[in-house]
Amino acid sequence: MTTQILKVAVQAEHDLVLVRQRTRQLAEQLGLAGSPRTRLATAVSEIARNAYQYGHGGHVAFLVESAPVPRLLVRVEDSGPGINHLDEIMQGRYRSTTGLGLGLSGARRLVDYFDIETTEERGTSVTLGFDLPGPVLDVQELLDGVDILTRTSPGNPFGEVLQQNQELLRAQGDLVEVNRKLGESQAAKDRFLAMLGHELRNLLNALRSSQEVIKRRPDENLRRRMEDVASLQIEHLGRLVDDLLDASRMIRGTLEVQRRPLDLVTEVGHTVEAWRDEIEGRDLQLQFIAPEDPVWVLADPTRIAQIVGNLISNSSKFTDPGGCIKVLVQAGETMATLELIDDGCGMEEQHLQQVFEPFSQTSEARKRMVGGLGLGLAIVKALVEAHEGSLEAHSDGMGRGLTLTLHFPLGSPPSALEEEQGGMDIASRRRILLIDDHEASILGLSELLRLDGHEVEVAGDGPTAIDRVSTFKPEIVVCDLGLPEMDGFEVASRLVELPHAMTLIAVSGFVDKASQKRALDSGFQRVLPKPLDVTVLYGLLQELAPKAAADAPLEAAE
Amino acid sequence: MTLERIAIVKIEECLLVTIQVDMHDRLALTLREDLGERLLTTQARGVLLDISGLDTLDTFIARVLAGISSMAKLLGAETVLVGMQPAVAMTLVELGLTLEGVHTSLDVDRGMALLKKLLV
Repeated sequence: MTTQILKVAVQAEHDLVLVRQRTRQLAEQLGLAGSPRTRLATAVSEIARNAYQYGHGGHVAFLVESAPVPRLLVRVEDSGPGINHLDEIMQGRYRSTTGLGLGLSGARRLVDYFDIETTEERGTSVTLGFDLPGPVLDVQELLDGVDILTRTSPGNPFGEVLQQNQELLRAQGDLVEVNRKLGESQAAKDRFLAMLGHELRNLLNALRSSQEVIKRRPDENLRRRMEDVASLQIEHLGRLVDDLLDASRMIRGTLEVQRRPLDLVTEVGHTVEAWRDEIEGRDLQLQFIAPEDPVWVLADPTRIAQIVGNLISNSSKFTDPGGCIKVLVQAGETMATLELIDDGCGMEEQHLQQVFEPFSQTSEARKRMVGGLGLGLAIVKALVEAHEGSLEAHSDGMGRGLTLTLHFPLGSPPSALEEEQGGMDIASRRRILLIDDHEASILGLSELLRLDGHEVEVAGDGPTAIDRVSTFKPEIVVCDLGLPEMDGFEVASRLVELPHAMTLIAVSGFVDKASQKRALDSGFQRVLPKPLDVTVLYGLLQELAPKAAADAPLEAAE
Repeated sequence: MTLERIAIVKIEECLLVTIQVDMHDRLALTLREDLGERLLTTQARGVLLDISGLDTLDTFIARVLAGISSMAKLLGAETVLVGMQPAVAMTLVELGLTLEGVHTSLDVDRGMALLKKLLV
């Protein structure tokens, strides 16, 4: 019976040392004395070297044989080109140019059994046999011993030190690299803190000075302007904090998106409209170019709004007055493309890679003192990736504008069921009438409300509105107070006369106590400031009585 | 791998090389080169090769050691090989290697004495 005990690969020079050591260790376990051990190890070393040197590497297998005599067999196999002049070599007549020609013939003299097979196709296999002093009684014990052998190190102190040295050198190299990266990120964080402090101080200064002005009881006009300044700063602060929180989530990897089928055209369109006033206020053009048909993607609507907002905000910082920002939505074969093209200051190619890095601001950004934390585009990148999308930046160089291209995988339109679940439930759907003489300003809002499943009608003046109420029977009326001819107060007082009960919400650019009281007296339940904050309106819609009760007079429902 | 070196120590006008590990082939060749250079820079006239730590000496390593001896001779230095284990010696004989032209001695003390005699 022959049992294989161990197999050692011979692929490198060091493996020869290992083969010699294993041979000696195994020989010792098998009870071979010092001198036979040396002979065996030397013979194996000769043959294994041949396998490495001429046979392009191979392996050494150790086997024990119980019959006809207890014997240790060492089989060295390679897949080399075979051996020429084998007979001459074996007779010791061959003198190789590379060795003394004694390897094979010498090894044969050192062992009790020798067998060699060599072919050009299958390489060379040499088997060395060494008679053992007695039969191998317990093969399992031997195997266990070998198991310990292979788990312990080769026992060569120099080799071990060498290996440890190399590992230490590698570890040191890694540490140097980590240290360098830490230094870089430390510098980025320092810059970030400085910027954050600067931003917050600017906001605080503006708030403080507007508060000072208001304290001194200025005339109505100035007070209103100061209040505008304050709300603008607060809005800015809100965005700053949102960005910080998102950046923190992004770094901790907890940025979440709640994806559902949505039409990218509608969603992006809304955000563009929401930004229009601010952008056009800076004397910039804002264009939205999209196909007629919807472009369905699987995305989180608030995150899409955030992405588009960040992109527009970024471009507006780097585009001079008179410039133009274009937002494009397109559908490709598998991907939807959202592109933002500005004709702003652009950037050199080497900076393009950095634009999506957190805390990075180009020297141009610092020169322009655009403010911000250098987080906007980094958040965009994280969000796009959370949507399994990709993005790239392109610029033809300084002064040549910047193009940011985002790709999202195309999705399918929502099924009826999804729409039911994803949108609002039927009970919270409402019939809403919007009244405003400035049609453009309620276009976005009406679309948004429709998208969320509400029925929406729009009227441009008081008389039209009153007409519509009798046929449309709205549950909620949102009315601008500053209508021409018949103002909002009068519209309200006419509407409450009607038998049909509804909730009246006033919207006004100037809400002081007097006008608020007048509005409530006229029949409005709520007065909201203009421009209308959509989240406030949504909160109000949630708050209002459920539909079942809405058919009954409002007083009864409360 | 520059880390791997067999140490060469200069004692008076001799170089002492103690091989304490099972050398792989490249290491043996590196030793030969290093020793050649040290012979040039130190002008040493004798080399003492202590192989008492070697328990296997196959034809390749033996050939390198013989080569070291011949090279040293050409550079004007005598080489004495000391500390060969009896089992290694027997194996060499069986292999048919006699290390012709290489002086040998039983241990370092006798090796040094032999070197001194050779260098007179």
